[in-house]
Amino acid sequence: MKFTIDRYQKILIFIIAAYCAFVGFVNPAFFSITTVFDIIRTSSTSLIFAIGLLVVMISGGIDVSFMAIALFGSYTTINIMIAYGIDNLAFAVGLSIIFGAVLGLINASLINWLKLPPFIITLGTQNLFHGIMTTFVSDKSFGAGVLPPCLNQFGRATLFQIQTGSGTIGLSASILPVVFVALATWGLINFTMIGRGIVAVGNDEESARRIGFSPARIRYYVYVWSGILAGLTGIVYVAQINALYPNKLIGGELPIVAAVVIGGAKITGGDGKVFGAILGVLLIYLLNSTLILIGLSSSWNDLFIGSVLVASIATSSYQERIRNRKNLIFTD
Amino acid sequence: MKKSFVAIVCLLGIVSALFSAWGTVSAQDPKNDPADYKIVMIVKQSDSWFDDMAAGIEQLKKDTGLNVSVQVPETGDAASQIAIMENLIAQGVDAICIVPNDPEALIPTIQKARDAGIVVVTHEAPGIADKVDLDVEAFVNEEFGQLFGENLAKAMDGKGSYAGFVGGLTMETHMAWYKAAVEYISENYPEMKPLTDEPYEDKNSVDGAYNKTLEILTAYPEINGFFDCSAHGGGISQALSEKGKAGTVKVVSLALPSMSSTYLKDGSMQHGQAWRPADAGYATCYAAYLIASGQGIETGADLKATGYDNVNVVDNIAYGFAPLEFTADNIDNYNF
Amino acid sequence: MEPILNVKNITKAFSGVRVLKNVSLTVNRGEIHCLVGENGCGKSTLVKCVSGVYTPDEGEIVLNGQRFTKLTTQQAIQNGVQVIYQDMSLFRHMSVAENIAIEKIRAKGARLINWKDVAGIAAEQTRKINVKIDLEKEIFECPIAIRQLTAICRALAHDAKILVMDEPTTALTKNEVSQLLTIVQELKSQGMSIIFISHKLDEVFSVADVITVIRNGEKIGDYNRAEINEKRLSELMTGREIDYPRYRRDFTENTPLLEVKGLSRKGHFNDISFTLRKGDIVGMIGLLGSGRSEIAMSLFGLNPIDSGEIFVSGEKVSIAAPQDAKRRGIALLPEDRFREGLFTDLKIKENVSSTVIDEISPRGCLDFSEEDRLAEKCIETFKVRAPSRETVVRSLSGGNQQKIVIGKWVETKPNIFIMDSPTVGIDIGSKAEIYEQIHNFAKNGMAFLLISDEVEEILANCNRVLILEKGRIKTILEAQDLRQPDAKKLILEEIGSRDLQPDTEPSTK
Repeated sequence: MKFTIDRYQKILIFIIAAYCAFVGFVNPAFFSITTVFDIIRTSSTSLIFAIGLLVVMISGGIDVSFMAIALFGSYTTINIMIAYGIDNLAFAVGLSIIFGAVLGLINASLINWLKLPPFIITLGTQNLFHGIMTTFVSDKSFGAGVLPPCLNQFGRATLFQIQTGSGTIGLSASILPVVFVALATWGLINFTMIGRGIVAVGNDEESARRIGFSPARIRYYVYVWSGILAGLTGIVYVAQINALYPNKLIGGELPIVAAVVIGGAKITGGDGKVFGAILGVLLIYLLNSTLILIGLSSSWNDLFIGSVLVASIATSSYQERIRNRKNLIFTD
Repeated sequence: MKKSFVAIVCLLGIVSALFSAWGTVSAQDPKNDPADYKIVMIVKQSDSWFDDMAAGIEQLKKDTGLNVSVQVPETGDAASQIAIMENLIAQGVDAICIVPNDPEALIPTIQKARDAGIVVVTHEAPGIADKVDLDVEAFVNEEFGQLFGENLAKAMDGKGSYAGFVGGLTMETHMAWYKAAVEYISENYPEMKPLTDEPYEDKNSVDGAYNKTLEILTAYPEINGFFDCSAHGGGISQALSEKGKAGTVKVVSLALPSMSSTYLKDGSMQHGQAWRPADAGYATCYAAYLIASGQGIETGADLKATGYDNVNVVDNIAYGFAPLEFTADNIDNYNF
Repeated sequence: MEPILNVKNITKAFSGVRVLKNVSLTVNRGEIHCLVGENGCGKSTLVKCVSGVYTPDEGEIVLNGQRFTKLTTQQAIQNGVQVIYQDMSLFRHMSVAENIAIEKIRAKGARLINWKDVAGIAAEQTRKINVKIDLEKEIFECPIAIRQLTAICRALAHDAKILVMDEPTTALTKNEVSQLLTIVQELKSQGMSIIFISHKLDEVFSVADVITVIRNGEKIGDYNRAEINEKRLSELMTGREIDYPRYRRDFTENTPLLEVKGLSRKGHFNDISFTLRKGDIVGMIGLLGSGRSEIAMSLFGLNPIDSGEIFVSGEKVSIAAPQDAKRRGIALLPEDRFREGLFTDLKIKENVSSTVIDEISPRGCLDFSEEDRLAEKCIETFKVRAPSRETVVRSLSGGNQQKIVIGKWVETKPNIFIMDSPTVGIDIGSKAEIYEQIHNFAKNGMAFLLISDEVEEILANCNRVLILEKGRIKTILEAQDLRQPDAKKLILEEIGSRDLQPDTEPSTK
């Protein structure tokens, strides 16, 4: 399978390009390498979350506990590091990923065992994980001073720097985990039997079972992978904001779900592309981070973002409908 | 944690009640012993701010022998606070103090408590002061807002353009501070200009403040200062540091010492301001005791806490003057 | 000829009810063996015994000379038994190639996917059946016919020796059917054995070597194609003589109920004009792309027209949405009853009342006794075979489900009833009962537009036929034309499809 840009993605790219042109026209300051670097830096955590969620959605499931997992993994890990004076990035990432994997395993087990919709289960585990954390770990906030320095070093690290008129800017090292996760997930979905099993189960569980995939086992892979990515993202998030709160992240799930769906993933499962999810996140970030540039005051934010999102979804689904008409599929 | 915390508070309560049974007794009181007064403070949620408030209330208990305790909701919303209140009404406590998550939503429950003869005192809820026995505020919001303006102006040497943040445009307290600050600056420092008429929203998150700051720096590279009415100015400092503008662009923010000391010390934040939760909790609960015991509160009353020793009562709101200001020099004195 | 499959004296019961009684079946190598019988006669159970899904209570199955009393699905597959079920078990968002190859690659225990292998396996299978398919397309973009071919290729990838096809032609158009039948012949010539299940007797006659008739769980007999005809076969299947009653319109009043003038939609149909009078049953027949379903959709407000006029009872109307159509007394029986016509998880009575829910809910409250009455009426009129009006529709057979769909639309008391392929996938007995009711309603003044693929159906019901080609009306046959003995041949010629005649070589696209 070669990397292809499908029709839907082309529409998204077009919308993004058109919007960029609009912003650049209103405020030429937008067209600078700084903007690109800033968006990469600020969207990196959402990108990893979205890719993890994408895998779940391809399998026909949904996960709204990934923020809680990210928080649990990073918060618990860093508490341990503070308590024992550990200052090692690999340890932080490794331990947080392990927490993520375990919590993902719990999600999958509950879904397989209770046979309830994943939405209900993960909504429950979202509260459960957060509750366990605040009850048994801690509920204190930690400022920059007490966090292990390695985190902020990573958060501020750059791959290379460029001299511009307004100072030195660098490409955030946060892009590394994003690229790694995107490639790994793309490979997992497209080149492994497990990945094809995920797609198969998302398309039709019964048919997948008939050809020998075990939907229950596939779900373990899916939710553990999502948990691992959430654990990783938790650390990247803390490294970036350089502070540790027991109550952030949670509540921010829906924009990620929206981004993945805008990126072309089917809520019913079986279809979704990594590149599409990336475009979806970028579109939402682009909207969120250009309002000041186009001179929109805060009270217009939600209205504006909502309108552009609805318009872009309408455009792409209209395209889909036209194509369906050609194939004589009437859905209305 | 929450449960064990409550358990510890209760345990401490019993212990300290044993040791301080001879505490201050007021003459007018039908019940002679302060320990007979059961007063419960319901905080917003579990975090270091309210931990400090709980410590203050513990101190009140030690000082006076009042049977006062703290209840922490499971989640930071009105529903869990209502649940706790209902429970307390059933128990028949003497007074409920509450820092409401959503003041309007609590009105019916507050009414129910008062109908049951329970004194209700709020903190940080001036909007519903007419529905309760008393609302206690650390300061008049305008004065606190002016303090933002003054601190920012000082940091910026009285000139340049600046931007203000609030948590959200619907947060009344933040908006009151913001407006007072901007008005104060325009009256006293004509060379300072706000970038926009409206404040920016950081959505009460560090990354929100961070992301918006990056964007503002792109759109308005000439900016000289920021102030943040929500306690997430660290995000601004963080962004400025990464862009090499820490110190040249000034930051004043509502601040928790534990979350801001790094920025104050490394110079990416010039000034932090807040009020002391321990004192606020102390004063609020003490006010509840005064009302429950029939002593009442008038302008000039002493609520026994720093900054609340001479409150000004207007429209059922008791204002102290208890703003707390942080700089790199004094930040280590606080631990909430 | 050597037998490849020998089913010996199989009996199978479910909760005490014997579904198969002592049935034997012999399939030879390179033989097309048709299995016919009414819905619920036990054909599907027999197939599931052969594929190892069910274990027979008595009897044995001999595959390639190996005897099995407890055949597992795995053993069946190893011995080359491949079943293409009606749902085809394809993955919508996977490419045709992957659908063909994935099971084979998975069975080899591969951990990684080599897309060259996938393409190779897929190409190899399509060569075997001598068709060209776009292997890169995803299944959801493909028409049913391509999906069917994909399912066949997938079976071939598994070295199928016996291919069981469960009503493969149900959703196909005439041309597609003929292509499929060609492929079946091709596979046969390569030495494969095919068990072919179908309701359409003309198809059965065009491909079968041997026809096995099953009725009420018992085998009636094996017949060579040459020794039997359609009429006799129908009798054997139903146990009674089936001769569809012909409809005859005897109204003298000729004012049109529906008049369509110059209806056009670019790419769908062009300049369509016809009228429906009281008691008319007008047939519409044509190949895929002839525009028949599209016209029906347009008349029901689902497919906006570019130009043309529609008159209902002489009044010019615009039908932009189904509500408009419903208000004008037009009802549509859609082609895909599972997706569009039924709430399969609801009870019979709830389905019947769904179209008239407002009428039987005075002051917003549903009148339950009225709902029960309607359901009973529907069950009685259409002879729905169901335990009670409380039965969930999903558990009914296809024929009975279709009766419910028709019944619920009849409740709206339409003047004009558009039926798109009303008896697809339904056995002969049920068909006859549905036709009888259509005739009754027509005699009471209802007008029908009947879209069908089956010439027999058109002949039995219509008093006028529109033959469509490429979106235009090519020929109109009146009642006297339809009464000619060679009417069937004439229609088939006009449609442009000779391939359904048993003795002509099927054409390939």
